Amino acid sequence: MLFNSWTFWIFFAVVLPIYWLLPHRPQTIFLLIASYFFYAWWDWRFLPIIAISTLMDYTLGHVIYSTPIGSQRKFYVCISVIVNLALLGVFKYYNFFSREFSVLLTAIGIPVSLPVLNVILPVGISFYTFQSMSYVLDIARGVTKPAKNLWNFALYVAFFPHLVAGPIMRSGTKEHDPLGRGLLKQLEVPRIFRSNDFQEGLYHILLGLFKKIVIGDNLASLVNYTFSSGRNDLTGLECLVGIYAFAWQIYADFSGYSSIAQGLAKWMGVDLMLNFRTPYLAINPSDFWRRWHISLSTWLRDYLYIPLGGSRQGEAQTYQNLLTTMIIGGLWHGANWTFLLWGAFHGFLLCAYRLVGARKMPHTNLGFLSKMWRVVLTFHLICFGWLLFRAENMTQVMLFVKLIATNHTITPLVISILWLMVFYVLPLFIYEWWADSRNNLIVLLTEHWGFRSVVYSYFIIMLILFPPATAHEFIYFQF
Amino acid sequence: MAVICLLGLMELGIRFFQERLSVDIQHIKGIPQILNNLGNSKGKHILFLGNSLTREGIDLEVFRHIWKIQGGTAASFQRVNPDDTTMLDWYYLFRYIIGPGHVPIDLVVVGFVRNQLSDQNTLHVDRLGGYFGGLAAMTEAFTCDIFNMGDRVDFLLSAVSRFYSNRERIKNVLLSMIPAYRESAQALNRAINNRSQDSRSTPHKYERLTRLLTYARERRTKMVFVAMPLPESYKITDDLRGAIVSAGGILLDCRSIDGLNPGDYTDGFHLSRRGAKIYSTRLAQEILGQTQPQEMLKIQSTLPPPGHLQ
Repeated sequence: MLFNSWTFWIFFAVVLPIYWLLPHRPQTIFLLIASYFFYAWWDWRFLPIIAISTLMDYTLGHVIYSTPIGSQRKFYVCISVIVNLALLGVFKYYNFFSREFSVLLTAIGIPVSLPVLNVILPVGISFYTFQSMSYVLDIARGVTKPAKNLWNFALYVAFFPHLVAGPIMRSGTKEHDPLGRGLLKQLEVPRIFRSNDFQEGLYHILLGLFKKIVIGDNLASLVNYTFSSGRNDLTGLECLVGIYAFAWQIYADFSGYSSIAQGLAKWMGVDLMLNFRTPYLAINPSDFWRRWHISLSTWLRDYLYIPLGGSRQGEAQTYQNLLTTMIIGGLWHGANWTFLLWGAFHGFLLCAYRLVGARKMPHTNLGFLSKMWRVVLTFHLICFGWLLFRAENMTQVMLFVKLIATNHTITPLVISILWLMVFYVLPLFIYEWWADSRNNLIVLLTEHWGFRSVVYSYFIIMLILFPPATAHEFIYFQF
Repeated sequence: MAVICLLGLMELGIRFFQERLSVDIQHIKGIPQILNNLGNSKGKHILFLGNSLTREGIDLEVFRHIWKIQGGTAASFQRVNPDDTTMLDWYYLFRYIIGPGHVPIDLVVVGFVRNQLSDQNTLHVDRLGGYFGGLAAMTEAFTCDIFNMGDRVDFLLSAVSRFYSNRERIKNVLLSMIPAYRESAQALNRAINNRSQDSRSTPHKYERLTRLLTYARERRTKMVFVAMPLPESYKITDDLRGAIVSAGGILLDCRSIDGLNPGDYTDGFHLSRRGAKIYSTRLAQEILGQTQPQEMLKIQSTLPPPGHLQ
């Protein structure tokens, strides 16, 4: 049940009114049932996994909270982390490591054939596993309290708007949290429909659908064509615009999903955290990670980078921590060398940025040109990362790099992809630039209703007129 | 509210200007008139049903001339040939537009190539909902042909909104303004088609064809299916032959016609005027040579029945 399908909207149209008619506790249970139904729509056989993960972390959360600080508490935390990572390991990483290990052993003269698991990856497992782990880790850190009851916690894990592709929500701190209100804390109190929730939800949903369907899915065909294996007639410029197209496809696809999730939750009186903040307007690699997949980058920061020592243990250790964090961040996306290299590349970028001391450079009040060259340079560095991310293997990466460096033939495909990007992406880019310059991502909501109506009509007309030839799943569902 | 008003204005605009949007819409909107013209003519009523291949391939004047000089019974001829249509479209068109009209059709000649008669062709729910069936066809469409929830909603929206049902056409008009779009779109389509052909390994089914023939039999309309010529030959499977013959239809094999050469195709698919003349001549001879339609139409044919027909 994809957000960009009518099936989902019929489901939501049934769920929403019933949800608001119910009092708090039945509302929670109803929403939990709806969320499990939503998940079961893909494959009901994976429901036990999410249920077991929920039950274990709920129990361990209470046990950890009631256990004094010490080795016993660490033991319970380890159980949670190990079991959660084991779930990920089995479904997501086992085959990759098994295969690579066999190759390694064979290379050193010990031919083995390790068994391969014939299982499909449960949708969203990386998201809800990380979320569940953050809850246990926060209790262990003394940042939050355990859930008041199992229903609330189960809903916190399975809340359907963000279940399969985030944002990875925190349970909620005792005090003010810069990441916004924790999801568990919101679910534990009665939800109220605030006056501006409908407007804001509608804005997020329309923008998200526009990004996903009009931009993401339409660029997907161009990207798939460019990156399809077995093509040896590409020119360097075709490769380059193919990478640009993928950069916008993945952004529109993923941020579109997050935006729709935010809007749906808003209509249910729940705030989900902002997951993207105009990432292609980043002026350096560090700035990019403050704007891209914020719920994952802050998760990695809080539960990996800082526990590793962060930047408190000298420069050399800081670089090592940055690299480790980013490589694991890359691996989080999938078991493939290309993801690992993508993470390592971003780790190197962050290290290099730190090494040249650029962090001390001014970041605010930059002039237009001064900001522009930084944005363009950062975008192109990010694009190289996307080549690593999207390529089917390293041979393709090398081929693309070679072609981009040597073959600059302008073909009809180059011209049409560029113009299609202007047609689909430029309006969004202009809007985001405007919103970023006003430091308000929902700036449209503050504008005159007439202007807002024109923009909403544009979204709807584009959604009607430009659905893709084939509907695509959200890219991040595979992670 | 303002958004709804703006969308309402768009809908009104499209309803007003839809026939200027494409020649194909003009043709579809003109189908009742085509049928009236056929009904007002004397003699048997013969209708050519197909897509742009039929439009470009059937020269009515030539066909009429051959029919007359070779002793065919008095008959009048018309063409209904919306673009990019296949079996499902033809079924709904015949079942819900042509069939319920006041004009009795004696013979329908359906022109097809390759797998256009199979059930595996792409569903164009926008057209079914908007033009070929509408709400009247909803029950049958949802029971027999459209099972996906999204497609059903698209069908309903197309049935009530011209803007929605014409979105593909509007999209094409807008995208055609993008420089070099046509060339790259053709390459992309070829890549997509190759992939989808690779994934289509299941044998073809002909349930919709059978439904069309059953409905035609109820209306006492004879159906002839003509495998039209293409520069590259294609297969006609035994399953297809069986499906047509067992349901009372006739299959004419015109894939290969003496005198037609690759230069008679304007774009690798559609016949040129010269090609259409050759094909129409041959088709008239083939139909006149058939025993069953002759009996039905009481044709006085002087031609011997061609030997290579099914």
